[in-house]
Amino acid sequence: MSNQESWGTRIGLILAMAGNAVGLGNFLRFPVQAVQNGGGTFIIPYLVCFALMGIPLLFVEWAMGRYGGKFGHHSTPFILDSFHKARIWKYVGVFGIFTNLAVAAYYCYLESWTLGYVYHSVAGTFGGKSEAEISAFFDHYIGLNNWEPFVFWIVCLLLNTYILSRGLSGGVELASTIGMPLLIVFGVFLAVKGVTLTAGSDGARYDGLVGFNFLWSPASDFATTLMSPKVWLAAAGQIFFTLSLGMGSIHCYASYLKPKEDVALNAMTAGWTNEFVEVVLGSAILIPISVGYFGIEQVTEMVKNGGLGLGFRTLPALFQNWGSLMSVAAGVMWFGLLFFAGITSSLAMGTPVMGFLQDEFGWSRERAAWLFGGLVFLLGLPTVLFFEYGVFDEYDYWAGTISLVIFAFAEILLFAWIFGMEKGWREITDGADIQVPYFFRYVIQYVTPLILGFVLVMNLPEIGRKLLNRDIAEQVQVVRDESDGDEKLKTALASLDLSAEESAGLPLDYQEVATRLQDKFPLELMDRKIRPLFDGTAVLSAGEFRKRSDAAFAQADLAAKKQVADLGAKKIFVNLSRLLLLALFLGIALMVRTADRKRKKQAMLDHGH
Amino acid sequence: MLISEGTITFAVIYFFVKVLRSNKKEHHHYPEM
Repeated sequence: MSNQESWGTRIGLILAMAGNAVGLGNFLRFPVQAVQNGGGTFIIPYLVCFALMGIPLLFVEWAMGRYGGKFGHHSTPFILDSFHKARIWKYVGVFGIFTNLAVAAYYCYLESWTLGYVYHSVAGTFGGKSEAEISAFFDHYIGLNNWEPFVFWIVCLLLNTYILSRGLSGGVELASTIGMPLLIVFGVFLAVKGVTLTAGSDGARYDGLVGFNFLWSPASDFATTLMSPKVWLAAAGQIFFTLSLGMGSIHCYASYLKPKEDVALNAMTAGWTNEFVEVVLGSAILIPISVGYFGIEQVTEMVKNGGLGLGFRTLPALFQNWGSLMSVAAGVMWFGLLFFAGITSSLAMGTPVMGFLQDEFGWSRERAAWLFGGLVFLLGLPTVLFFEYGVFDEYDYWAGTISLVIFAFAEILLFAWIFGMEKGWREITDGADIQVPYFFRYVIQYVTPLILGFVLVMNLPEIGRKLLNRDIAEQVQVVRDESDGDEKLKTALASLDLSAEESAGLPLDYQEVATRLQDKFPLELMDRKIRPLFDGTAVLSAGEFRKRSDAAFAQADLAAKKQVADLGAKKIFVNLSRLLLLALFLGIALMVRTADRKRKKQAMLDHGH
Repeated sequence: MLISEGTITFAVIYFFVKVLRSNKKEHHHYPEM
């Protein structure tokens, strides 16, 4: 066995595990989810899910990892295999490698944006620019209009590969020991700045506390929000992503523990550190600062497009109000903390892949690290190049969302029901430095599987819709309906008798046209389609009106055709990316099969001797 | 809101102190510390 990795120190391990959990989502996704799902009310389902699903799964994954590690396994196919002899578990374990590769493929691209933005903050690119200019800079950046995003992506991949090739204690642990404390220092600084923002100073219109209170004030319809399945699903989803559950990375990190080393206290320390970063720091930066400058109403609109826009378009622009030195410092700290959050997570995605190659195929860690880097590059290429065709979202949905739930559901059934809770509980409490409350035994056995089953079942309709490309078909239908409406309106306008106006040279106004057509078309439609023809003028000659309407409808027709063509292309790209992901899964499964055969052959040889 | 933030902050400090303490107590478990 070539895999002789181990953790250097206990604090290093905890920081690496916390770094695995703390990601971009803590700062960009959590506050947005909270705002969209009942504000202060959201924290209740969120904390309930943390207690009944997050903590139990942390115990289970840490314990499973340490158990597999005793047999020299460091990736989920063979960690799961050590729990039960049925062949299926090895293949369930494929998820724990597949997910890491597929998520790393798009995640490293996001991570590279933060690196690019650290550079631009230092270089003073945003200095003196207006908010619109900084927002346009982001569009320009992700639009791949030059080589720069590509270069930062490659640098980011090389950095990940290099750190991974330095090994567990010399690479991953070192990076986390430097990155995590810095992340917390930057986070605390920006959080203090966020909540102490004062109306009237630094160009702020409102106090930072206004945004902070807005994020945390309970929804007006408290009971309805609390009973909404949508809010509970959002809370469960957030707990999943934020703790990196169902990925296989926790198993891998824990598999490098010594057999009697504590898992319970370590798991709690790392897990609660993530919660501190998410709930305490994550809620005090993005929303309070944005609300301080834009007010609640505008920010409520802005969060509809997700946290990325606020994080990359809005914040760097708002920092410009803080003076030349402070704006640079705030930019470096904001994107720096996002970068540290990102890289400590992507390193955790590389480790299981490397562990698998080192354990099963005897690869050196350098070789394994380079293969990981290379695969992430190849798999990431479609997400970078065809970002606008939804390839990125497709990876995120299948690998970064659905796979996690399926894997977590399967692993908890294996652990609590097949391996058995008796032995399972012993694995969690053996060597524990804290007393684990006994009721978690029942939670792990009954409650967590039920919650996971519920989350999975509730996601089934959406899975079906996606598989059949219903979402794209619906978008096409919307465009077609709009086009049909345009066609009818165009015909009605063409048959409108304007001879009186034409012969007398009378001007035409919007009201006149709307009145004549009001029996046939809803006012809203005419308001949208006909009023703009009078843009910049109150009246038009009949001839000019005809000219303008013909041009507008021709243009709308062209745009609709382009939209339908784009959606058709999107469908092809989406289907191709699914095939690619499927091929990746099957490829890993094939490697697992080869490794298994190798092991069996070796066992027979050993037995023969 | 402040209750949850307070609880989380307290829990993190509590667990970290516990880690450092059990490290001292069971030095043989973690020889590298």
